Amino acid sequence: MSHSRREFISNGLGFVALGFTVPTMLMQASQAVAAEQTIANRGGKSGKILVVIEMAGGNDGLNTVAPISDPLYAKLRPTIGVKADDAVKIDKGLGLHPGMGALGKLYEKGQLAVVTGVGYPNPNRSHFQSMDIWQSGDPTLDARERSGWLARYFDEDGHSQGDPLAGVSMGGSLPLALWSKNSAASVVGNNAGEFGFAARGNAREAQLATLKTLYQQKGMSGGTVAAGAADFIRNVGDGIYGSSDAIKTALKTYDGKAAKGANYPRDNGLANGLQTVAKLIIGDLSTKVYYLSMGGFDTHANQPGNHAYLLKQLADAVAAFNADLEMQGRGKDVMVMTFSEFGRRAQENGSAGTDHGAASVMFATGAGVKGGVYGDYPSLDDLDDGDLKHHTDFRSVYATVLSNWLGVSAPKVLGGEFASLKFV
Amino acid sequence: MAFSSNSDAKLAHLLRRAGFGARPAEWASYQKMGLAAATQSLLHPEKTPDHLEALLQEIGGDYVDTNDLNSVRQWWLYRMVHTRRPLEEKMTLFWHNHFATAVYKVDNSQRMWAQNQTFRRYGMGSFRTLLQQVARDPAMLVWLDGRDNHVGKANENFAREVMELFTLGVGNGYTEQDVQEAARSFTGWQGGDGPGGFIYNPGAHDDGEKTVLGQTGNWHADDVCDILARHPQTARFLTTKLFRFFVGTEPAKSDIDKLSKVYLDNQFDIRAVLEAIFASDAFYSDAARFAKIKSPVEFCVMTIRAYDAPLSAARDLSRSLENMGQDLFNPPNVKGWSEGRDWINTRTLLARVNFASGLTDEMKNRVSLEGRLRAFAPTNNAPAIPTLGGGDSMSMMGAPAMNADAATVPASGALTAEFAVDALWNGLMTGMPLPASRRADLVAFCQKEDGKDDIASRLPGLFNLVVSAPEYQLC
Repeated sequence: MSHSRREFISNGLGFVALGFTVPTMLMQASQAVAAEQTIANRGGKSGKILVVIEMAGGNDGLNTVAPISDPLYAKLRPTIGVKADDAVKIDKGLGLHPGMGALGKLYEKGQLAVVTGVGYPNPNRSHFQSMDIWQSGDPTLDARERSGWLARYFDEDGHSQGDPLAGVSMGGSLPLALWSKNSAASVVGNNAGEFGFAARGNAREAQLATLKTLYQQKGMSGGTVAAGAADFIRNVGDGIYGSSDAIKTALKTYDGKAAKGANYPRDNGLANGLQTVAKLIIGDLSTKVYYLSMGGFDTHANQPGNHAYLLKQLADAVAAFNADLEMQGRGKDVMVMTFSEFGRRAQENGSAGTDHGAASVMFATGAGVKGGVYGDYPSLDDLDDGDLKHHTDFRSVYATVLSNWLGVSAPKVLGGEFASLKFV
Repeated sequence: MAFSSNSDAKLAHLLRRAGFGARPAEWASYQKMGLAAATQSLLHPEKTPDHLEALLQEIGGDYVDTNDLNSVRQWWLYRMVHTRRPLEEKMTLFWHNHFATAVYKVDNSQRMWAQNQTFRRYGMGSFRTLLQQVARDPAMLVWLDGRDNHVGKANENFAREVMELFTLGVGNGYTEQDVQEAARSFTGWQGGDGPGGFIYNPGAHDDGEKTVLGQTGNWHADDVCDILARHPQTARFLTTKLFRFFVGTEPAKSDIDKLSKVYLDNQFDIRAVLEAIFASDAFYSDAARFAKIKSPVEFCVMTIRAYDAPLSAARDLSRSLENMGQDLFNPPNVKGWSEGRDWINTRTLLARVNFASGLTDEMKNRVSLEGRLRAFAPTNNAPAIPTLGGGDSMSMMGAPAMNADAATVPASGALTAEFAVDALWNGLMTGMPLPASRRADLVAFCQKEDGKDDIASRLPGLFNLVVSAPEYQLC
C-alpha cells in the first residue's frame, strides 16, 4: 500500500474548507396543494407579533439591571459590580448595565418594560432542566412529556397543523418553546431567501416533482419506531414547499416597499437575525412568533468583559430592530421579549464571575409596551441560599403576553391562572 | 454487493450502527467473514492496523495543521470517511457528544485536536481511565473552568457537570455539598508549561479531607473519578446512553440491569458493554432496525462511503454539516447535540437534500455512476431483492417477502429503470423495504413521458432522490 503525496492530498486531506457558498437554485413549486393554500400571506392581518430572544446560559440579572443605590450590591460584587456612575439610570434606584445605552434610550421613550424578580418556586440550577421549565412553562421537575408554551398558544389560536410558519425559529434548531405534537413550526436561517430545495443536473423539474411526491405520500407504514420517524421526516419536508414560497413572496414584498431600514450594527449576529425578521414582518409573512437565541451568558469566569459585550450586542440589535419597524409603520405590531433560564448568585465567585442562581429580570420592548420598572427589586439581604428570591412567577409574564398581546386564554395555554402584569 | 436474505440486512445494520456503513469492497470482505467475525473485528480495532497513521507517516511532514480548526475538522472527517477501524471512530464521535466541549469557548484548535485523540485512544477501554484523562484534558480545563479552580477560590463548573452530565445523571443522588467537595478535589490545574498549556500545581490544590458521595478521604481528581466511575448510578446512566445510541430504542429495565452488571464486573470496560449490546436481542430486533435518525455526520460520511467516494468529493463539507446542525468541535453547549428527531427541521432537511445533489454532481464528474450502481446489484443467482407492498411493516427476522417481479441484474448490457431503482434503494439502504408506490414513483422518474427508459441521463437524479428520501435519513 503506497500512496503518493499528491494522491493523498487529492483524497481530501490538504483541502482546507474556507467559506464558500454553493449557490442554490430557488425552485417554485409548480402546483398549489392544500397545505400551501392555508399558508396565506395575510398582509397586516398577522396582527400582533411576538419576538422572543433567549439569552442562553443564565444571564446575570443583578448586573444587567443593577440596584446601584443599595450599598449591599457593591459589597456582594466588589470586583465585577456595575459602578453607579457608569450605569444607565432608570427608575426605583436601578441602573442598566453601561453596555445597554441603546435600551436606555428606549426606556426614555417609554418603550422598555423591565420586569424584576422573575423566577419560579424551587429554582433549578441545571441549564437544561431550567431551560426546559421556561420553554414549557411547567416547573414540575420530572415532567415526562413537555410541550412548548408557544406551541400550545398556536394550538389555542387554531394555527396547529395548518401553518408551519406560525412560529419561526431564526437559528439552527427548533426550541422546545415552539414544539408540540400538534403544531408545526419552521426553522429558517438568516439566509431566508435561500430557503428552498435545490436540484442539479438533468431533469431538474422532474427531480423536484418526484421529491415532492416522496414527501407527500406515505412510504413505510406500521407501528415501528422507524415508521414513526420516517413519517415525521416526511411531514417536515412536506411543510417546506409552501413555506418556501411564502418566505420568498414576503421578501419580494419587502423589496418592493420603500426599504428605509435602521442602522443595524455590524458584526452582530443577533442584529442580522432581527433584520431578517424585520424583512419578513414588513413583507407581510403570516408568522406570529419569531424565536432567536443568543448564547454566552454562562459567565462563571471573567464576567465583566464578556457580559458587557453580550449586553451591548443585545441592546444595539433590539434598538435597531425597533427603529426599523417604527420607520416602516409596524412598530405598534411587534413586541420583543427576553428571557434566560436563571439568574446568577448574588455573591461573585473567585474567578471574577458568578455561578448559577435563580431569580432574574426580563425585558419587553416595543411601541405597544407600557415602559417602566415592574416589581420591586428583590432584597439583597433576604436571599434564598445565596440567590435572589423571585416575587413574580415567569408564567405571569407569559400570561400577560398571551392575554393582553396575543389575545388568547392564558389559563388554557399555561394550565393555570397567573396574574397578569401591566406592561402591555 | 451480493445479497442473501436476512444475514445481509443484519450485517448492514451492524455496520451502520457500529461504524459508518461499508464501502463496496469492505462489504464483500465483511460478508465473507460473517456476522460473528465481523462483530469481533469491529470490537477490536487494535487488530487492524491504523492505515491512516501509517499513510501519514509515510508521507511525512505536517499532514494536519493542528492550529487551524478547519484543518483539524477535515482531518477528523477524513478519518471517518476512510477508516478501517469504524467502531473506534464511531466511539470517538460518541464521546465528543458525551463530554461535549466546544471550540467557541476553548478557542484553541490544538487543544480540540488533542481532546479528540484522547477520545480515540481511551474511548473503548476503561471508563474510569477515560474520565481521569478527560478531567485533566486541556480543552476541558478551559471549557468547564477547571483552570480557574484553585484552593480557596473554588469554581464548581466541572464538578457539577461531571456529575450531572458525564456520570451519574441529573438529580441522581448527588447534592450541592457533593458538588462543592468534588470541586475542591479537582483543584490544582493552572496555566503553565505543561502539555496543552497547563500544569498541575500542588500549591493550588485544596489538600485535606473531602466527602464525596458518602466517601471521605484526601481526594484528588483521580480519586473522585474513581468514585464516580464505580458508582452504580453511573453504570446505569452510561449504559443507558450507549444502549440508546447503538440500539436506537428505549431500553427495558432488564436491559440496563444486565449491561450495568457487565460494566461493573469488567472494571468499567466500554468494549465489554458494547459487546453485550451487539449480542443482545434488542440490537437485532425489528424495533431497532432503522430506528435511528442519522446525525448529520453519519448522513454525510455514510453517503460518501456508500458512493465509494473520497472526502474531497464533498465540497465544503464542514459548512454543510453546520447547516445540518452539527458543527464538529462546536456542540451548542455541554449537554451536546440532542440527536434523534431534533436533527430534522425545515432548515436541516433542506441542507441534507442540497448536500446530496452537490455530492452526486461532483461524483458524476469523477466516476461512472452506472459502475457504482452495478456494484450494488445482486448477482444473477442470488434471491431477488425483496419488495413489499404498501402496508407491510418491516419484518426482517422472518424470510423477506419475495416479489417475483423484482428486477435482477443484467450481467451486462443496458440498465433498466426497475433494476436501477431496486439496486440503488437496496444498496444504499440494505434491509429497508421499498413499498410498491414508492418504487413506481422512482421508476417513473427514470422514464420519459412516453414511458421509455431514460436511465442514462436520469441516473444522477435518481441518486439524489434516494439520498433525499425520508427513509434514507434513517439508519
